[in-house]
Amino acid sequence: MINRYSFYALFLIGCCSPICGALAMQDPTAADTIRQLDEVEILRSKQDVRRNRLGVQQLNLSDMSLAPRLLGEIDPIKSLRTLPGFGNGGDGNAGLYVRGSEPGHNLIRLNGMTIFNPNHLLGIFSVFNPNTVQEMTVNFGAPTADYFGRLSSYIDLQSNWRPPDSTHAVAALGLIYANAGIKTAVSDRMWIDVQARKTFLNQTLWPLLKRLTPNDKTLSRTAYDLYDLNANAALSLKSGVLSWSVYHGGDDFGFSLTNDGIDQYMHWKNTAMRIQLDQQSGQAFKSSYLISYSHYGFGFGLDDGTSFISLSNRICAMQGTAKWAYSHSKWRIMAGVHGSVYGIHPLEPGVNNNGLSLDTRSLGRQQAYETQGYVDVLVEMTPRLTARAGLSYTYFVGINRSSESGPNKYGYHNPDPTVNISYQLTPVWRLAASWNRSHQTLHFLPLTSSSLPADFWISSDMDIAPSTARQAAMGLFGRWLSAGYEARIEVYSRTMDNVYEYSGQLLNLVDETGIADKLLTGRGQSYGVECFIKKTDGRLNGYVSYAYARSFRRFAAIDYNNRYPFKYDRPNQLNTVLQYKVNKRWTANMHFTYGDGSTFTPEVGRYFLGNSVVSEYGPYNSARLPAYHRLDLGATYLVSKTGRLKQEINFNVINVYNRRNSLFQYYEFNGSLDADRPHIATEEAHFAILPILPSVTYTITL
Amino acid sequence: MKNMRIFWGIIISSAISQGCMDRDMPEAHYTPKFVVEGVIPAGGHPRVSLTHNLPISSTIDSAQLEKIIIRWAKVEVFNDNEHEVLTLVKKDNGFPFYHYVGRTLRGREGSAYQLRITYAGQVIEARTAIPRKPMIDHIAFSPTGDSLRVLQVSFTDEPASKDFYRFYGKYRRDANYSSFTPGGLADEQASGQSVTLNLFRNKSSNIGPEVDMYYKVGDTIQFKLANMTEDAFTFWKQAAVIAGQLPSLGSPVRIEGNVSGPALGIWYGEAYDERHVIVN
Repeated sequence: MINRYSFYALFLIGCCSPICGALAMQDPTAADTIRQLDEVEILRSKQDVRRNRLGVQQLNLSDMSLAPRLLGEIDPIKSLRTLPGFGNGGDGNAGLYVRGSEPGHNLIRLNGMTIFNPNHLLGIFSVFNPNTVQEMTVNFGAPTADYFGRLSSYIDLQSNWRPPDSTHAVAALGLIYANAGIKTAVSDRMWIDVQARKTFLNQTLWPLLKRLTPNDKTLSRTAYDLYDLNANAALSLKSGVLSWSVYHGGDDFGFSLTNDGIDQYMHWKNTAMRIQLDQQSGQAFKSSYLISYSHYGFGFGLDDGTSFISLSNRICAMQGTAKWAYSHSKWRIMAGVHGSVYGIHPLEPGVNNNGLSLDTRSLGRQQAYETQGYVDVLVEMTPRLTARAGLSYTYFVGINRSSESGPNKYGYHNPDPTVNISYQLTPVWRLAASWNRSHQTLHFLPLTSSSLPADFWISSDMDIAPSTARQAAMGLFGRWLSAGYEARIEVYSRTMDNVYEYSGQLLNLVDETGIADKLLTGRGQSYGVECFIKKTDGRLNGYVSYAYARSFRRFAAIDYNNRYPFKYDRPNQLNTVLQYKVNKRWTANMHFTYGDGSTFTPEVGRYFLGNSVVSEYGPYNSARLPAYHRLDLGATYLVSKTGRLKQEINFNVINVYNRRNSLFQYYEFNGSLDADRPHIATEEAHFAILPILPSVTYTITL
Repeated sequence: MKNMRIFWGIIISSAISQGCMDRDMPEAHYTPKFVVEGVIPAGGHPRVSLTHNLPISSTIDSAQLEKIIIRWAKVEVFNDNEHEVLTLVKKDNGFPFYHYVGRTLRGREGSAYQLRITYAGQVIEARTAIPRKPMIDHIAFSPTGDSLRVLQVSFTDEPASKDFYRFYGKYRRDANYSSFTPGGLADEQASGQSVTLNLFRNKSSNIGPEVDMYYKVGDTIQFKLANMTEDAFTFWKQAAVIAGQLPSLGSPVRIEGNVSGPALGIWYGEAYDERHVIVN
């Protein structure tokens, strides 16, 4: 945090000095006048050299605001999908597929707290309130050695930890939700920031639909609302800054699939909190101590009054970290230790039929302990050449307490080296290369081919070895400060071992063969080239990103160990995000995205069993859905800005040309096999969920 | 103005270019196979349906349905003591319209039987055995609304034997049985105890219209509790999943049968207890 405070202070001085100087020259009384600025809004950090690191992307709030907003809400996670290398799973799929990896291969942290499921509304919103998030940093290359535990990327979202100059309040009212928050100082040394969001569908949309369709019993039992609360606080001490964060959010979904009185419910919740002490001794030595707790729980139930089916999963983590860093003019060394305790209930299906509880052989309770130590050294070898090397060493113990033969306990040692070298070719161009190994002991297994809140975490133990990855990358970076452009091109190659898939069927969880038997182990490979060009100055700014990326898997139990494309192997991905300041009141935004379709396993034949048509499938993931593309447009009108009071109306149209982007393809059968007139009509159908979606949001900022 | 032209230029060119970018991977290949569905019940004659699969592009009309039925195969069922070549006869209840049936050989509990099909130089073989006959203890109906009832069945699992139960039912007027949810109970789940289950009716075919999951008061139904081999139990469970699921909900299932040769399908022994009951 101290780094960030220092950075903002320097930036403020840099920005304000020329303005104050100009005022002084024009106003002969200025020398005797002290003007109190209400607020200085930092829109862009031009001097931030960290932006151009190999395998690192940084987005601040203004970057996230460039694209039009779904239902008027800025979404940090959705903005990541516009960057090269961040695959899009399609509408309604919340997963982030970074460089051909899976959503569970990303570690997502809010102010240092692990968020195990970052999605609201089945992935349509992320859990991150844009009023809380100031900056997002994504490491998907060879990160410094303090990062560990995931194969693919580390996504760190940070709030604005700068002490407020004055009380800052915001309120927004959309068609189906509202948010409000306040950030204020409570003493000279302490401030708090509280932000809350809540939908009110149960008071608006559902009653309206029920009134319009009184005979629809299914709709009469539908209920859905989501909420989240963020609170941050910081206290300046003589010895440093002590800060706290709390996050709590969840979704409650009640529905009925039939008119027959069978009710279903689904809810999922994240809770996280942390306390952190940041200290600095002089300019050279910094330390940071963090304790955090994170919990995620999901529950599903189906009840017809006599029978009950349930499905749940839970994971919680208690973590502690100590970090030390010492900087010199030519080198910097970082070291630290980390400890985690995990409690996991991976997947607990339950079936009670008329009082009989069927044995669903859940995986039961798992516990895991993880300790890590690391050291990372950065050396400026010459004015042009910089090298960094680090080693993270982790010892992990996984315990499955529900094993039939007693607690199943097993330990794994994981040394993860990381190296990075960077050479400044010219004042504009820089070349960098990196290599790293990573491992993952917590595995996130999707129940379906879409990313749903029912997807579950499971720990490594005696039977489930840690996943490992090795990645080599090289990049060329260009920056033209005077023209306001920056560009990067990166190539990478990644191999993964011990990646897992759950081969069970969501509709067949009550399975006598047990869930542990359904874990398939295989290998993965991905490679690609990523291009990114960004314009940061002027009335028109934004960026264009393009990636050519391939990702493959090889599983002994799938397709006879042949290599096959990953489901979200989408070779060509293009994103264009632009913002144009039309005049003082109007700003226009656009986002166009194109991606090759996801792969799927095609039906190649059919046969008959009994009176049913049964599909016969071809090679795994050997066909591709139609390409995904979508254009979103937005505009913001500044109604008024009086002092600190700012009113805006934000208009957005998502999927302007109403493209039906296919989530999956299937065949519909209709007909009869009766002997007098047998016939079957087959029709290929595509399932799409996001139509053209306009929205208007009114925002007041104080 | 120049920036504005760039802004709209990119929007328009992006929208136009999307029309040129749709493309697809080559279709995977289809492999012709025979499809076997054969059963030998305890106390009954063996029945075997023999068809072949179709490529995805085929139109499925009445002529095509007639053509995929294999009518000239030699179908034999035998064990160490008995042997019979089955006879092709016309069926009176749905597809396939012809099947091969035995006339002398009857299945016996505990006995093993082998199936051999010879056709156009190809040989398809499978083995099975007939498990013990299960017994229904009780059938009842619990009300759910004024005239709708949930079927409840009670039976007792035999601890000493490994049994795999599946449930089937139909109205007396229907030609074919349909399955239930839950569709069956494996030996580990029944675990030697007395079991009472609520059963919800499924439709008998995945191409037919939706059916009510409950029964109406006054209807007469036939209920069948079948005990079958483990491979048949798994086969029919997978078949129910693949016939009923949307492709988004998981990886495609390949049904594992027990027939060898250029074929897929199942040859299984079963023993069952069947009751006729009036919904009350």
